[in-house]
Amino acid sequence: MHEYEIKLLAYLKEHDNAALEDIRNDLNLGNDQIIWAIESLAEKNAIRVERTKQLGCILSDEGKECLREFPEERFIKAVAKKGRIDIKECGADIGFIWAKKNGWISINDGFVALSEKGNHILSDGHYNYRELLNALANAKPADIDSMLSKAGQEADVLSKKRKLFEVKLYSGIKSVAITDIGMRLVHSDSRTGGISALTRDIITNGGWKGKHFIPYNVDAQAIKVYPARLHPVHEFISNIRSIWLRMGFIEGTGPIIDSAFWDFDVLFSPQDHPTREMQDTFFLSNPKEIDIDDLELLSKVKHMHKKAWSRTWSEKLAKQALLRTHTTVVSAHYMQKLAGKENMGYPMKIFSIGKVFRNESLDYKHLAELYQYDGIIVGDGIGLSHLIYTLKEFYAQLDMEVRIKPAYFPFVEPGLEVHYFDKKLNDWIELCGGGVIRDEITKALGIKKTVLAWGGGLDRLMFNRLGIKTLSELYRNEIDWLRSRKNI
Amino acid sequence: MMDDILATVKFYNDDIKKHIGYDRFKELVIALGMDIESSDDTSITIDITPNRPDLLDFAGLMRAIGLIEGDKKLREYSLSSSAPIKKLNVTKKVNGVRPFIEAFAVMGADLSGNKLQYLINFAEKIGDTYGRRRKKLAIGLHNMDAIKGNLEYDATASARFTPLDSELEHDFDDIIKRHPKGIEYAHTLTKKGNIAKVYPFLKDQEKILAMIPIINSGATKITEKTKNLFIDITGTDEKAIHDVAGIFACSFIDSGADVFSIDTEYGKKKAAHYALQYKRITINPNRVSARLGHEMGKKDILQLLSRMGYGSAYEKGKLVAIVPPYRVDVLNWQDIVEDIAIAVGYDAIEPKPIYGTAHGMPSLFTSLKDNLSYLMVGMGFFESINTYLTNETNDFENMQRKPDTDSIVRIEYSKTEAYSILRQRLLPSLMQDLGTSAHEKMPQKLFEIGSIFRVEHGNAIESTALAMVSEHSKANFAEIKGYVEALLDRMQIEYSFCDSDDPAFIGGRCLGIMAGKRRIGVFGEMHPQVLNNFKLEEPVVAAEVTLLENIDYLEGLE
Repeated sequence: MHEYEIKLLAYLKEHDNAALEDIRNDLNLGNDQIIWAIESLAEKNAIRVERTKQLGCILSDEGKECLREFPEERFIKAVAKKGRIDIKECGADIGFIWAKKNGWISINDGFVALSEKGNHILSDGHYNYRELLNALANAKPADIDSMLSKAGQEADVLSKKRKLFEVKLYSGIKSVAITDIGMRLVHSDSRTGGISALTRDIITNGGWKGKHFIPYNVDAQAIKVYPARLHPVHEFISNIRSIWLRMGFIEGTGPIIDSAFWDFDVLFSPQDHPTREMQDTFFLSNPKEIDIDDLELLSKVKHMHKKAWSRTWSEKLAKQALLRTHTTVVSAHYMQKLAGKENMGYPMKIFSIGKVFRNESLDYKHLAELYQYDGIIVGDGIGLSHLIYTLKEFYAQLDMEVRIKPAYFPFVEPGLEVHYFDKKLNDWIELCGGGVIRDEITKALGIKKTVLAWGGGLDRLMFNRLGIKTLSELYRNEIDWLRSRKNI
Repeated sequence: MMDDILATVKFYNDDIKKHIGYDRFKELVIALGMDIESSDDTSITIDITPNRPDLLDFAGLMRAIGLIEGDKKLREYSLSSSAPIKKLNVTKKVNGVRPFIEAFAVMGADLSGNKLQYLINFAEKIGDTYGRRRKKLAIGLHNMDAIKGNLEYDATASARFTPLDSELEHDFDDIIKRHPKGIEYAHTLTKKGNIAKVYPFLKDQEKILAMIPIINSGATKITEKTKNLFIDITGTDEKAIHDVAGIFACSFIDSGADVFSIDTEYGKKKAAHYALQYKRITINPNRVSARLGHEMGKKDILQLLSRMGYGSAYEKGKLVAIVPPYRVDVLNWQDIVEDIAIAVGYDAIEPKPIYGTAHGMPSLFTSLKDNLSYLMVGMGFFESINTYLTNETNDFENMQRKPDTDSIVRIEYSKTEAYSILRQRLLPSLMQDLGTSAHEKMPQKLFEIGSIFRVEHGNAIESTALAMVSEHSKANFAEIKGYVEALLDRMQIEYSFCDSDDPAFIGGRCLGIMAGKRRIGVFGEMHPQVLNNFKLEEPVVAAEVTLLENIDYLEGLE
């Protein structure tokens, strides 16, 4: 804001609805400066201006000159200076005409000289027309009407005959009041004494006391903030972990790289099963094999396979190194760890969450790497009904109503699957598989108790919760998505 | 747990409705443990699990549905004697390539309507799945009326015949190399990776009936009008062959046909005569109740057994389940327990809580990961999770690093070209992540905590590392040093810095991290060539620290 506007606003803040006249009297500013400030602030809606229609005497250019000196006055001054003037030099001088009309000069033998009246005017300096014109020019609009009628003929001479002024009706400023916007403007300008940014000085020395705080434009757009976050997969896994932990489970972990023996053979998957082909499973070329150290287990598993599936069982196939295809292999390792440990505090509950691998052609719902969770409960006096209870309890905590149906997995009997109804897809979606581990396997692993086991994929659940279109978006880590993604 | 399905089968709604209401049918399919893949106004597609190949057959599925619903009664399955074909001779030549065959004749079959299609699909699916793409076993279907005289199962290096739906005669060799079926099933004739030099085939007195297990001749093609069939099942697994023969025989018997065993002679050896076999398995009601966590008595079990197709008897005071010949999956009492549960209905088994258990306990390993993750987020880094699978270009070349080839964990075969190795470091993945967001608002700060892999002395080693990157116009060494020191201080380890000549960084603007005498990491300003390789246009500072070397998994029980 301009200094004049600030001055005017500061004044209006203290003087409600000030008359223009008062402003002129009180502010140390010229009329033009005040009018400019008023019009400028009015444009900003900082003030409300009350305007009136009023009379005014508008002087013509000639009229403005006459305020100082009429032509006839100038003429007689010139005559007085020279004593007399040849009439031929006077011609059509308007001053000569009016001096003659006023009787201020006399003409003798072709020469013009001052009359007695002329000499008097010159020494006296009063000229009624000039004084009237001055009075009208400076008159208050309200007085103009009466002055004109009082002046009568003389005013007509000045306006109509000599065209020195016109009487016009024009719009004028009556009074000015400050608006809310104006108030905010005056407050937001430190020149009016308000506080902008708080400083250490202002706070500690009490400089803020009695001052107003310049309000900010609180509607202005703020700088975008992106709080750093965990990856949604991590957050979701944490949720799942905390449910199992609350349900009394110990968290386990296991290796990503394992042998076919643990991933398949221990879990009763026949050696000629299609998932054991390169088309489905990532076998490794370096290292190519993983030794099976536990020879007793090796022999038991071999026997179990030969009895159930086939006369031939190859140790070489069992030693193949691979990327685990399910986290159930972690559960199998833990079962072996429990062998012979009779006083561990049963029932023992163990869960694990981790990556599993499938040799897939990638598309919107297939990834080569997925997250799975797996769990086992090892104890006596437990069976299918306890497994059903545990799984229903788990999914209830994810707000999922589920159905339990029979299903086949080679290492459990009976086996089950948990499904939930997806309203969007209008279909039942598989959540996990499970069952009671076969005696053949528990015996081979050296466990004398019953083992309930289950496992399921996490990615499908996350897919639904994050509202993404393709599974691969989960692991693309685009910063824009990490910053703006939905809560999981 | 891995999804395991044997195959999908499609049946027509009109056929189903002749036996049972359609909605009830769908419920029972689920109750039997199968899944409905899709269904529409005309047909339904069902996923069959590997333990129940008998349900791939329409008659087999309707039998199971009828039994559990109580609409069908148990019946006896047996083969008729005095087969209309005299005998089947097997030569020694098949021994090295496909030694086993079992055959039977069917009289009075009904293949009208969709039944022909169902039978052919059944045979194809069994061969492709249970038969391991026909290697383990395959089924041949013939019109018996077109067979003349005795049969012989033989093998030869070369012979000619006219395959089904073909007009010209072809040599066996030609069929293996050029015919679509020959190419598809050539693997069945391999031995240790090499194609055998002899091809098994079946012939009657006059002609070759089939090149086994590739394709039949057109001469014995079956149609909707065929009443009498000859069926051969050949392969490498005698037990599986016999099992599948049982499934087919029972299916035909159920449809009202007579099934005859065909005597098989192995040269001069005595003829083998087959019979349908019933297994007898003792059932202990206490063990059944315990396994299911659901109390039931002998009487309940008897009734439930019959609804799943089992006969029953008391032998020496013990309850014995009699397993029908088509239930080839039943190994012992445990498999029958599942059937009892299915007959009860999984919904009818009351869920029971488990009492008396210890407190839950998080793994120290994941707790450490969590704690450091929160620290990194506190320093303004977003977490990134990348795949373990990657390739050498990304992991080494783009980082200007030279791999120690023997130390890389390699995949034998991947369907995805971008995956050939397991990552050895985390930083390359984070650099790639920055590359996907090069034009987003700066600064961009990412971290990852995850597994890295290498091979040492022939053993796979899995370790856990933490890596961080910060990309923006003013990124510099001082910034990353600050982050690294903050991290290491909170990890409460004794550390020191040492010189580094890691080519991924600018020389003189990077340092190695030591924990005692062990080198555990590196940090600094990334080399501009590396930035170019990852298509990055702003400076990047980065660090990588190994948190746990050679993880000793399987913790938590001590």
